[in-house]
Amino acid sequence: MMGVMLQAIASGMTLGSIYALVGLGFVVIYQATRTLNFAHGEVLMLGAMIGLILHTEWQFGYWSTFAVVLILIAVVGVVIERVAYRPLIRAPAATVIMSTAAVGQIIRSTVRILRTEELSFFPPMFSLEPFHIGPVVLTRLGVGITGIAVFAVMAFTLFFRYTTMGTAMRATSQNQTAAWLVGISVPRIFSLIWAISAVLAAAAGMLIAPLVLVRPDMGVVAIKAFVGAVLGGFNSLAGAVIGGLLLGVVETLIGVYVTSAFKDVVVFALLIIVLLVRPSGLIGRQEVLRV
Amino acid sequence: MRTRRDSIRPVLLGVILIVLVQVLGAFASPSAEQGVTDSEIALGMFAPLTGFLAPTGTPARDGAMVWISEVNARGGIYGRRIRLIAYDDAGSPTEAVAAVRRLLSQDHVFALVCGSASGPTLAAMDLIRETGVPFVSCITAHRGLFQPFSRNVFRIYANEIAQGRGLIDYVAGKKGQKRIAILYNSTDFGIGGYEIMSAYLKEKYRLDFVAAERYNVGDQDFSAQSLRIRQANPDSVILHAFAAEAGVIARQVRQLGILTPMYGGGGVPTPLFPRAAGNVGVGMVAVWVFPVFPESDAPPVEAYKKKALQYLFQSGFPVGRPSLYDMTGYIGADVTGEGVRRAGRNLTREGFIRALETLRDYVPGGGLGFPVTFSPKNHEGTDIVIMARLNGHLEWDVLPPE
Amino acid sequence: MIAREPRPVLLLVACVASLALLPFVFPAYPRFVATIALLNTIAVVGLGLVMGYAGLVSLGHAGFVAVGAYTAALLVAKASYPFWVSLPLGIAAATAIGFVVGLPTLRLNPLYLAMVTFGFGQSVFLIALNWVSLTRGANGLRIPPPRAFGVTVGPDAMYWIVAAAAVLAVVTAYRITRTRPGRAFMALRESEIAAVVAGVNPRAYKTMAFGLSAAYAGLAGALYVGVVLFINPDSFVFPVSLMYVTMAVVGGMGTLAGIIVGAVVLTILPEWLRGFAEYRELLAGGMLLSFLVFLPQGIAGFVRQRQGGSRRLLVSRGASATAYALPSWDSDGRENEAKVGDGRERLLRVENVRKSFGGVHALRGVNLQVVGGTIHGLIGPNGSGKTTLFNVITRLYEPDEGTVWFENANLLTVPAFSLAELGVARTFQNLELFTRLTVLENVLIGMHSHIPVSLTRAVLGKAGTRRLEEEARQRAMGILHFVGFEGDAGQPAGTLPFGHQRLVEIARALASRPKILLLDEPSSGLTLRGVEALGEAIQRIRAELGITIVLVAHTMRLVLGVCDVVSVLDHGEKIAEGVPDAVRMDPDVIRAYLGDEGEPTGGSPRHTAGVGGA
Repeated sequence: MMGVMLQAIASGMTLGSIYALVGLGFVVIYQATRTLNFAHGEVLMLGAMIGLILHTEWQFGYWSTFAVVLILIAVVGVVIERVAYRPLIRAPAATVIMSTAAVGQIIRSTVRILRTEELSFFPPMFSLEPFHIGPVVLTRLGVGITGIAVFAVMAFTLFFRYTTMGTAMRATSQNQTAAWLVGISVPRIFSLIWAISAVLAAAAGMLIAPLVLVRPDMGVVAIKAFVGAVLGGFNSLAGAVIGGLLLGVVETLIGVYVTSAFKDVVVFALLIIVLLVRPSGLIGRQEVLRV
Repeated sequence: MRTRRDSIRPVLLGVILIVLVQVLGAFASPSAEQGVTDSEIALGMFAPLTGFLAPTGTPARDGAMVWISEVNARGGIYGRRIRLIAYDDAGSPTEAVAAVRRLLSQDHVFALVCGSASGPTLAAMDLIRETGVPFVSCITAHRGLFQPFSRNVFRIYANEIAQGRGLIDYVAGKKGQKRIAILYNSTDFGIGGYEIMSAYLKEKYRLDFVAAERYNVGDQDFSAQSLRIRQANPDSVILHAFAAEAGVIARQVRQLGILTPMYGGGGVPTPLFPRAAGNVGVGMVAVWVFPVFPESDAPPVEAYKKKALQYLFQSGFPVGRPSLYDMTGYIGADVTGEGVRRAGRNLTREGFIRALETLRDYVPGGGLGFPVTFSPKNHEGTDIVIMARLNGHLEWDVLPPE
Repeated sequence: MIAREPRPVLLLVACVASLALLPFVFPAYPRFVATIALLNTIAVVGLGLVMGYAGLVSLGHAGFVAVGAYTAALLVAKASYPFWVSLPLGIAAATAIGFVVGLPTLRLNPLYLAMVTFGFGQSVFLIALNWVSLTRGANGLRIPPPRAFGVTVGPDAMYWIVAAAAVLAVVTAYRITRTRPGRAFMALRESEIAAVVAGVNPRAYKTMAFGLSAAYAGLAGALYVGVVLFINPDSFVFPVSLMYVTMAVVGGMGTLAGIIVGAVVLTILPEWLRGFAEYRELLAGGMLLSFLVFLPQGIAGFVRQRQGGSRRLLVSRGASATAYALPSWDSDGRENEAKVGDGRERLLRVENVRKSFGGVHALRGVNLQVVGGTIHGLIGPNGSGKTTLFNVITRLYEPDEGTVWFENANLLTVPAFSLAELGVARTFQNLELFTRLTVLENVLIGMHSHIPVSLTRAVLGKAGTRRLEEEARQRAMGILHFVGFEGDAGQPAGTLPFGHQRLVEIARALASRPKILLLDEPSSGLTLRGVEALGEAIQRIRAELGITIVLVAHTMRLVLGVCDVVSVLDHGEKIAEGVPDAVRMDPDVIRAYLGDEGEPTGGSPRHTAGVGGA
């Protein structure tokens, strides 16, 4: 019995790390631009798809594939920012959500037209062979993804807090006009943020591809990642990761002990309760009203 | 002063105007023919060509196109060339109804081929029954198509009842398993198969599934379901899922220490399963409803590929094709064509239906499908179900009947 | 010039006529497409109320449509209810669920509210998909066609029902958006704080908007069942919710016409693209993106821009307020007891109010008494706590300690939105106008508590409603005239010059017929002449309307010129109080200004030299 629960928690951690890694990209963009990028899942898919083609058809090595994909996807991120965000900076939030969703649709349908194949397998960064710790089964890949998610959030927190560029980004998110007045190039910051977020998405895509497989619809993982980030607190990087991990564990436990088919319904109900009790997520900061 | 945006706006307005004119043009009503002229037969198709079901619809459309191009290259049937009008329904019931209405009342097609996945097809069934348009279905295996019986609807491979019963007869009958667990998805395919199998298991073998777990399409992780199945301590597990997910599930099931034999429902024996499952999939036995595998080099497949490369894919096949749905599209178009041929020079819908009902052991698609037989009381062309097994080279073999 | 609202009767007649003619011109398929377009219109009009008017992003609208559809379908299929009985029950179920979801969640910030609506939509889908014993899951439910008077109403005939419902839905929404409830929605969207100060109960109106939108969705869903006669969860997936949002955005949120155009265009467009097979999704995505990027205000916004006209013609274009006299101010029986001279009454009493933010003590036990009928100045260096005190009095901040009495009511026991009704009004330092609404609408929202037009009343459109609205418009024009606003009352407030915006904000505050008016830095940013005009206006407000005024200002000449009493705040404490001349000489006051900030002036360059500059 205990074994089942430990296993559920361990499996939930692996799932949760996927959410955390994907959710991080959402939060980075939100932090700097107060916008949601609804094409995030599609950027993730595009990264994995390009990686797959480079690796299996163009015979690139694993790490060179990784490097080339990240560079290409950074460009994609900048293009999305230019096309779907910058012309709409002053438009209502819903308009930006729709425009990024439209970009997502364009990416998804283009990939689907070019590759009618349903799914492909992308080689894992760490081994997929299971190993045992007591009654619990884990894979190196699952543990690796958790580690990378935790590492990424620490790296980004340090980046935002201690580098000039990171400080400039935080300043921009607080007040664009003021940031501009003190000499920060706001457009450049935006491009950079979207590039970083896209790179995060692509890296996550290639990391999780062996678990969820590469296909035009693999971006749906972003939806649950988004839920996880909200659960943790959308205005905090650590919140995104903790929320994602928690979501994975809670979801799996509910699946094992309560209901498997309705687990997402229970998860959404829990999310609403959490938001009512703590309107900024579990560890998010309350935003102060200014008159 | 004209800014860049100012100069774009008239262009955009122009585009909108052109679109509107085109739309109104599309709505203008043509003649009231039933899709047959002296030189042409119009066939209609509604299928998911976009959305997550696109990997079923697009290949099926291509398969049908290969057959049509081939016939047209030979001069058509009785001098009539065949034209296929294919509309996307994105897998949505509402859109399927709209597409079928357009095919019937706007394009006045003679017959429908292929059809969509079950949900959209079922939504359009009222309209299809009402208008009596002949319909040769080749994507969905749902029982809603033949229960109740419709005179104008024909199917070309074993339906979901035959598939479900075939699998239970194999697992509970031939293999004598007693503690069977099942994991299925919440689509019509998954739930339909589960309902059929659990009823049949009870009726014939006096058994219940020891665990029946469901997941939703798009789920990334199946460990909760797997752990629940593990707690039920089964002696065999049936995965009634789409091939790709079945592969992921198989891997997780094995990882969590469930080492019992695994069986797969219809749709599992495609290359997607081993691609996702890897070596843990070896030994998997699953239902299959065609005499050949599209990824194999069996003579009918080779023949099909040659035609496809000649008529449709001059620059080579897309990755991962031909798939099972290329085959069904080709078979469906071929059966339709055989009906048209047998109906003779004076082609009517009634004549076409009667002609199809004369098919006896017709081998469709040059051997891609099992022989098809129709009669006035039976429009299920075949109920042949075979078992396939994943061998050590991660390829599917047909299990010889014992 | 009259303030009569032009009613688009002609437009309505044209729409109804073309809807009536369509089936005779077009065969079955376009009629079906039109039916779907009308269903989408109904659903999106509801979404438009919640998004375009109330400003709440909803990503789960398909969930409400599903509730209406499944309720109706289940009642017909399982309980054998007639369709016509199931239809209103479907609407009722969706509305009820709308309230259940909305009541607890509408206080969340917009992002999280979007998340909640998304989760709701997804949950409805998953429940419909997995509660197989009830809904048959993905196998779907088939229902028999509705019958009326012994005749089967097939999908073609359903066109008429759907068209009638759509017309009804649009007319209802039109009536709501053009009267008091609709203005309250828009006020909440533009500035929740200003709306609350004007007397709009935010929770009540947001919940109302949410419930209404769910009702429209329920209607669309229940009718959908009657048209398609088959439902399964695939019709209510997340992309459908996104499609509804897209329709509202592409059409132009915040205008009814735009929403209708969006729903119709985005129903027809994918139909037209159907033949493009696998390229359809790509083309649709590309077109959507170009729509959003090139027409960010939607089709309606684009058309409006072309015309270069007012946002909406509530008054004839160019209507100026000069023709209006202020209507009898006290006609509704409210006595302004505190007329000048009868003055001992302490109208407003602030007692020992403390407020700190983190470690910053903004107010350290402030006491203040405002005598009815006076103009009471409140000055102090930047950061001395003046605006914080206003925010405490108007219930935007909760004090840590202390009480605020107004007449005989303890203000700290009443919600912020009811202050307007009690007779407390204010303006804001940084202007909280409803910038996208017209000047007239801004003032009308100020009258929120005084126009007895409820939602039901607005929907039923009784003759009295029009009269009440008409009177309110007359009165609003009168108030604009009174404060000296001479611009176009049909213009969006955000497009006015700064000084005019100040006047409009004062007019909006006056529209609630306050007993006391709190003016927060009304002179900042004004020219010298503007300050003089403001001073005159303030004195006229007291003299002619008998309203007590508390004035926060940096412009010393204004304060010294018009105030009867002046209180000085420094570091959250009151350091001096008295008649202007006495305060000006007070050594503590001089030290506070010169020692800390040095410059107590705001707008007037002639008074930069300190308190005694005049």
